[in-house]
Amino acid sequence: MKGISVVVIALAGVIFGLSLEAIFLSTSIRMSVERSISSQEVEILRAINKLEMVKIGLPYALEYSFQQAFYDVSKNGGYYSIPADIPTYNNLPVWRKYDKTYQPGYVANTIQTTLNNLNKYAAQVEFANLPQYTGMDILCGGGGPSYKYVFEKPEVCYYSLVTGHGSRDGDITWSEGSILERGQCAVANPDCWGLFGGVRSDTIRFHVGGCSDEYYFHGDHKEYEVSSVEVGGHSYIWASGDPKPEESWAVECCMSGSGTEGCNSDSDNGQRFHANNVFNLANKDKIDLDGASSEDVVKKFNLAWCGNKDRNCLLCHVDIKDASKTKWYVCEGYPVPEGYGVVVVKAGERVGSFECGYDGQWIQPTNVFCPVDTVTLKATSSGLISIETELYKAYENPNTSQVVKSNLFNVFRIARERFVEEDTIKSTIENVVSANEFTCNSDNSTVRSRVSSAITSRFSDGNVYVQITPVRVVIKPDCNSTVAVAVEVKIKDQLPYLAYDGTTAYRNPELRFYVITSNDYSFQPI
Amino acid sequence: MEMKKGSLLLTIAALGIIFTSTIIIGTVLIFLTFKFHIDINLKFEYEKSFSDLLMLSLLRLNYNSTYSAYKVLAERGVNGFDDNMKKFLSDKITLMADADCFRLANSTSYILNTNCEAYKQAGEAFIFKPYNPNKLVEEMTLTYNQVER
Repeated sequence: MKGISVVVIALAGVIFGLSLEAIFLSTSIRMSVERSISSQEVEILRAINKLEMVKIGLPYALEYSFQQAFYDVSKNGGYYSIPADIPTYNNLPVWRKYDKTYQPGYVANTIQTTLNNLNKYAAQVEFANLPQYTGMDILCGGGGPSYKYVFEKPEVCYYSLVTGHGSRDGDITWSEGSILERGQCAVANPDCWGLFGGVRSDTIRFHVGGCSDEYYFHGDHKEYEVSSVEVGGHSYIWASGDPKPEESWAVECCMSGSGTEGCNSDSDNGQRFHANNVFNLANKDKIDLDGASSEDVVKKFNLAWCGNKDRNCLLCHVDIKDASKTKWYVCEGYPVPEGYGVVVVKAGERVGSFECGYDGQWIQPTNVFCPVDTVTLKATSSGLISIETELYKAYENPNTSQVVKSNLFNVFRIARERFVEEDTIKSTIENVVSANEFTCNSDNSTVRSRVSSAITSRFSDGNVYVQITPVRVVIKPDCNSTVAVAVEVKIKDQLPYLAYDGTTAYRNPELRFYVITSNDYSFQPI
Repeated sequence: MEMKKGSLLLTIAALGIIFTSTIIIGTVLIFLTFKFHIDINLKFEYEKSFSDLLMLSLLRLNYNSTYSAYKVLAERGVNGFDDNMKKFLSDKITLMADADCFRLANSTSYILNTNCEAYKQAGEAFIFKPYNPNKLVEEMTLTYNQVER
């Protein structure tokens, strides 16, 4: 009996021990599971913090992007990269040469470059996916008149400016610095295309980015595959890929010796031919896939060339599957061409970066006046900032804004008013010449000296300082007292900007350009 | 007979004690372990997220009326990083983290640090630097020892 009691107690002890072990094991497993859950919760909390960190930093990235853009564009006289068809002097653009003006889209170029820089910041964030920034508003001070800039709205894809002088602007050209830009229809560096010098390649790889207007492509330093081909004496390039992988984009370039037919012709047929070329190239792969001829595609979608010899034409996105999306924007005041999808834009309204002017011309609105030296930048994107893992997805609105000290609009306004809209240099020369009553016997050095001293001047407008320096004075040697001057204009915003030029440093952007003028318009070019 | 009865009572008593203690110890153990887990996990989550939040709060501070702590850190390479700036940030970190030791560093060097060794808690921050195409984003780590109270 005693033995049985011992066995019972022993069994009870074993049950006690097993119970404790069961509790221990279950709690250990539970502990492991809870720690795992806890770790996941920490990951989520940290992801939220990271998104918050990006949001805190974006206004600063926007500010730095703007300051760098202001610096880069200003040092090139209002261009990010000076187009090949703009006259230059000492490697800087000439804004006015005799009776011609070459006014850059200074504000637009600065904004485009700002967005380009901001997208570089976004690309370097590794822990989150930042979308491409495509739009920007600039408000004067905290409000006031705003300057809106949207790259891709509405569906503008191809832009072309046909001039009546046998030359065409608006196509993409190659320029130094691995940057494609809109500009003259010529290839500045033919070798890069492999079309000349006996070397031809159907596929060339190069970098694109920082482009202007509708040819702005995001993602500097990305490589896009670009194909080229020569057809009927014309050379064409086209490409496809990010950021619009579903579309092809194309440009037509007229190489030297290729003639004018279809490229520069002012005739309706010639313009139509050009439009068709661009469209066909852009949709080459689709046309091939559908087995339709280029002509069929053009007929099918009622393509029409709304252009004229002196008009900016906006050939809009053509959806191969939805013809109703084809739109041609015509500025009010210009005869509306026949065709489907023609949209008449009222004066003062904008399409993309262009504003419909009251004379029927498309203009780039840069005449915004801002009396204060602060602007509010607002960068927008259609995407979302996101962090995605197997555990969670976190999203954040990417739109950001920052108040920045800048005289961007005032710098440009002064430059335009003083040296483009009014030729103050020419007036000065005329005054000097008439006041001094120079004759055939006048000493050239005296004339030169007096003209130089009359032109040399400086003035300030708030924080904006302007310095005018004649760099060359030429006197026509046939005794009619004709004087021509090349004048360097420096406009400097005294506000501190932080910009990079190889070594990070504080610098004040300096807009520099040249004005070349004479007191008559028959003078030989300098 | 009495011996048998006494032994049976003893056995029943022993069994009663064993089962009662099993139930009591088991119940208490479960609650204690549960509480222990909650404490441990809360501490774990708090420390991890607090460290990052600390960095977020630090970046949001204003150094003066026109200059933020974010800019002080982001532009220290071009504006300089004087003693006033260092003191401002050190004071804020010490106060906000309740830390006796801390170290603020990027991937290559220390930005701020104390004489003692910091190792207990760590938070990360990513800041945008002034434009330089080679490096636009800088990662910073704040390591500190929170004072035990």
